[in-house]
Amino acid sequence: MIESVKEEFYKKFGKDTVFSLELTKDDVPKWDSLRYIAFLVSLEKKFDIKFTPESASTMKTIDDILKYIKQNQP
Amino acid sequence: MTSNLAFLVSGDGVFAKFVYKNNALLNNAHFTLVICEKKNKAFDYFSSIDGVKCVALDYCQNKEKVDEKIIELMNEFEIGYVFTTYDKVLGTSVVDQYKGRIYNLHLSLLPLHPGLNSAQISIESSELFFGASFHELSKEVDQGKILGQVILSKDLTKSYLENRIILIKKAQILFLDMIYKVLFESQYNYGRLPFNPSLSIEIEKIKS
Repeated sequence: MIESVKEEFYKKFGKDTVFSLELTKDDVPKWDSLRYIAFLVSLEKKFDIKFTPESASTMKTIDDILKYIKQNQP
Repeated sequence: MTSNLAFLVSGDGVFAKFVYKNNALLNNAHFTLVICEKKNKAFDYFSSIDGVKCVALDYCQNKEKVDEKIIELMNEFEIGYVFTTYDKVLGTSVVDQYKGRIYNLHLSLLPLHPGLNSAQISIESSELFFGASFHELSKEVDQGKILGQVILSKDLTKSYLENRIILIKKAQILFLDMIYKVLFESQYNYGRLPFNPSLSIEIEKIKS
């Protein structure tokens, strides 16, 4: 799972940032809300899940996103 | 009237950034000043651009002081028009000073869903349509004259986030096109209902 998330992360934010579980938006120069939402949508499709508006706004790190996916995968 | 433009932004300034990237389509109207609600992602982005003055406000201060600061900056940079995508309510003094020259982009089909979190509320509602509105800023929140809207049919097979992306992308185009109309077409429209609803900017020329 983590490799798939990493792949989508690099597609959306580029390879300027070293991927890690602790990353937050402040660590990612190319982060903006539109790219972030596009990143989450790509994960929705990949893992057959839906992010709620609340989850999208409260997840702070890559690790938070991974935990959400694990908890909500079919 | 000077065509120096100011943008008041919250969050990452995704709409102001879109206008900046497409400034050539506005006949290079002078993208002069960006005022950020605080030191945020928008501040990081615009403060690194030569020729654009970027200032972060301090809302820990008394609100009147913040409004005074906004007016001081507008005067210093001889701002002609102000465009906002701002989560804070501006004081009467700012709105009065720029009456008829200050505009807001709001992520709902006003008059439905004024106020904060309007995009989420409208996407999650049972309404079949959602969208964005560009309006004159008035003293009452999200109550100014609506000059343009983009109306989208809700695709119920799509997730909340997919609909949100569609909304942001269409609202970016609305924002840019309405700024063009305000700057270059308003003199022909005075007193008539607002603007030609068609895009004035050729869609193929817009950089996403």
